[in-house]
Amino acid sequence: MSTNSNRISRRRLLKAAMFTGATAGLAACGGGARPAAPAGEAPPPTEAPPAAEAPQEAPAAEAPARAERVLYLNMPSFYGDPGAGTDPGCSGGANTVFTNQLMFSALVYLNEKMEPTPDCAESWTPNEDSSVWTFKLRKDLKWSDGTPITAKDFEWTVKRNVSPDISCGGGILYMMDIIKGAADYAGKVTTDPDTIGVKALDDYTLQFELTGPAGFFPIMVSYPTYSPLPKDRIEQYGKDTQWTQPQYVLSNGPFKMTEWKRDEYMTLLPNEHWHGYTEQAPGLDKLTVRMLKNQATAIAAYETGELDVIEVPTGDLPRVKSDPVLSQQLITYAELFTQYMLIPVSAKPFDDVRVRQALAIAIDRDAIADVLAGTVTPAYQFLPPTMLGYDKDLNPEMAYNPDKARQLLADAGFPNGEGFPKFWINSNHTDDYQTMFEAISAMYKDVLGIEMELALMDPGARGAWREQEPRRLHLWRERWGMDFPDSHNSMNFMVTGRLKGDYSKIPEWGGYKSTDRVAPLVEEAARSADPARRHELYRQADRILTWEDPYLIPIYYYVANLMMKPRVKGVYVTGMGPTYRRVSVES
Amino acid sequence: MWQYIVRRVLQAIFTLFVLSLITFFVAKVTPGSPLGLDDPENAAKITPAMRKQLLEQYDLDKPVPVQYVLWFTKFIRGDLGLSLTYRNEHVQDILARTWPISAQLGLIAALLAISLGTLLGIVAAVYRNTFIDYASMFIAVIGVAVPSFVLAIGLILLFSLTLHWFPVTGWGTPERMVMPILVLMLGPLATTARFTRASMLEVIKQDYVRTARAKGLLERVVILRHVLKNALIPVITVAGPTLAGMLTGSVFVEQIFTIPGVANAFVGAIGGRDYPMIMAQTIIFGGLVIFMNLAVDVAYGIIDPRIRYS
Repeated sequence: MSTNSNRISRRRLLKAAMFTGATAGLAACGGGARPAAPAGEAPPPTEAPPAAEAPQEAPAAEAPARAERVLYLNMPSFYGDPGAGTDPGCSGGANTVFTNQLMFSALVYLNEKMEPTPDCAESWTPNEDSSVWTFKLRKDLKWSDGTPITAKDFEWTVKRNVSPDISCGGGILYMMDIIKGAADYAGKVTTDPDTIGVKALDDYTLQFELTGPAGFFPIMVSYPTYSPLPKDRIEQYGKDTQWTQPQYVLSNGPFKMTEWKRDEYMTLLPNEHWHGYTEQAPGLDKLTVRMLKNQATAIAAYETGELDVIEVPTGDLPRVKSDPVLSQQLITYAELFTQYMLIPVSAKPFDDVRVRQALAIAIDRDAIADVLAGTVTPAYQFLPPTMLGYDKDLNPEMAYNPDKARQLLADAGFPNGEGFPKFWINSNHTDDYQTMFEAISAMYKDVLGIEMELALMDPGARGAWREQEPRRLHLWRERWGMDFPDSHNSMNFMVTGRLKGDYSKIPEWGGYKSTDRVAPLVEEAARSADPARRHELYRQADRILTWEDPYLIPIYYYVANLMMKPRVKGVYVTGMGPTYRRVSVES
Repeated sequence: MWQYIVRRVLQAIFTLFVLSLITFFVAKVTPGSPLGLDDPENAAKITPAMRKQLLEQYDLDKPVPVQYVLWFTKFIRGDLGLSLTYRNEHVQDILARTWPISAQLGLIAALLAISLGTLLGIVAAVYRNTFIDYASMFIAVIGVAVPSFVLAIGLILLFSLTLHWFPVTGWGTPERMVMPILVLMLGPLATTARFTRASMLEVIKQDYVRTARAKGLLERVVILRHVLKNALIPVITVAGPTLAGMLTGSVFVEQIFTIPGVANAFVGAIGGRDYPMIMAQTIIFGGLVIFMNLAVDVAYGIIDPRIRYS
């Protein structure tokens, strides 16, 4: 299989050989210890490399061409071409968010600890109840063509992103309806954009008026929908997201797009007008985002040096972990992404709390994590680790406990599962889901003596399946990946999207008795600015949802596995994924 | 003959019309909707107002027969509609950028497969039951038996990871084209070779071949002029649809080698309920198959004058 020698491709070796002995020596020792050594990085060719560091061959360093430092990335999760475009106002899919964050700077960005850090905004202040937020912008903001950006551009962009006329029809409204009036404007209740609670007080001051207090708002504005967009270009080429094409697009982030070969690659160059550019010159000349959809090809391309960072396909994980070289390049991190099953809380026999609890503890989550080797960790609550409200001891009762599960089911009137109606689990069809639900179904059968049949299908067909008469008693698989790292994102979705959302109107799924307990906790947590208090409130809400009166059964959290070549520097990885704003590569 | 062709073309147009009707209505009654509107993973993100807006924008709120008429009137004017997965592109533009690539790949592979396959078949038939025959047929069996994904991975392992001759992915330069062409051509090559061999052996036994030999013709002339020409009919029958299939691209080959071809672009169409793309794909593939069958029928007449058209 892959050995050390494979890691330097012929192409790169040839290239290296053209340069000084120093550079070639560096390549041969595999990206050695001396950062100052690559002669190619010294800007004027006349300047000799630092004397102390330079090896004896240093005079050869006046080679005219310098190595082009190119970083090769792949679209995340093997999604390929972002066919629907890269409009930050429609930034829903992983590949759109990915390109948006390379090309655009939002009001803030998230640092290594996922804290909001000044990006376009220098500072921000709330009013006394955190319902009005004022952002002071940097004065040196520019588009990639050098023209200045002011608060007016931000105001225009927010109004545009919630407009019903945008190509994705109302944009990513759920990321923006916290702004006063945004939902009404998107839903055509009003056609006056000035009713939206965003205003440029002067060229460098931007004010948001929200629907209510929101202490987490600064984290939320790290999302790409809060980046400024080029008004002139959109007005001219806005139809059908044409403006996102390289010949028209202007951006304000670390990179600018210069080429987009559909289904092949995108070329991005460092944006010399980005406000971060002058603070620290970029450590690369070019970034190529390729669009490999096939997992086997992606890992082969990584091993031949055609890609610098990849997501490791599940099947290759054991090999990568046991390979002395590749295992050093593996980066494993917990994603803020929960997999769970929703329960029809008003349908018999699931209306009985004991039945739901029995279902929750009859699952051996460690066994499932073993089967889906290395890609998940067991979840015993809805909120993922590192988030407020996460507590590894939240639901001690939820550990795998076959005896107690049987007991609970017997107490509910189904000893050994006798008389328990057959039910289904509805989910998308993937190999991993098939494996997992076969396992859970077997556990339910063995532990509880009840039958759960698999209804795995194309995602578009799931809704129709659910509506089909006669209606089938079923659990509903769902997952939630966080858009911004604050528990409000998850809990607000659960309350407004589920407990009080469309689902509550379906007879079997509505009528959750604890809605009135959970919703006030989540609302208070949104208002509070005290992390300890918020932690406690989310803790309580999560415990009600997952144990006291189970509305959902958490199964696992996703774990991501990346491989990154040692030549790539300056990237940090959080639960939200890798951040490339300060990426550099050694040639 | 011309009359025959004209009649067949008219029939083809009618067939395509019926095909478009059936495809359109089947696609519409299939559960699910485009733009991920019915995907539960998106449920939180799409409000009823947004949903309504999007349906209006793409005419999806109208009754299905009306939608068909709208599609048809655009279609005959050469507008295949806006794609729902590549949202800023018209389907004809997507075809224009992807199809030449798939066609180039498919054409090279098909020509190589058919010519080399025929050659292999001839050689095997002429030297039947010798080492040459067994070797040729061994290649042919391998070609049929080895699935293209195994072959593709094997080639990547050998040529990219071990020998470092070719890059794994991409398109445009000769060294990037070798592996995809090999993967695409091996199966049809094997099929062609086996058909040619079997058909040649059949013909070699015929009386007129013995007569040709008795006349004292050179063996080369006997084989090429008398045997091969008559043996080609079954080969051509297979070659037509094979060519149609290869010209419309291979999802597998295009995805594994990251070739920006037509199959790669269209593969998401069905899952994404991208109706304009589904329609274009069906009509084009249907049209190609019909055309190839017609071409095959015409070719019969050229090869075998006994065949009459009526």
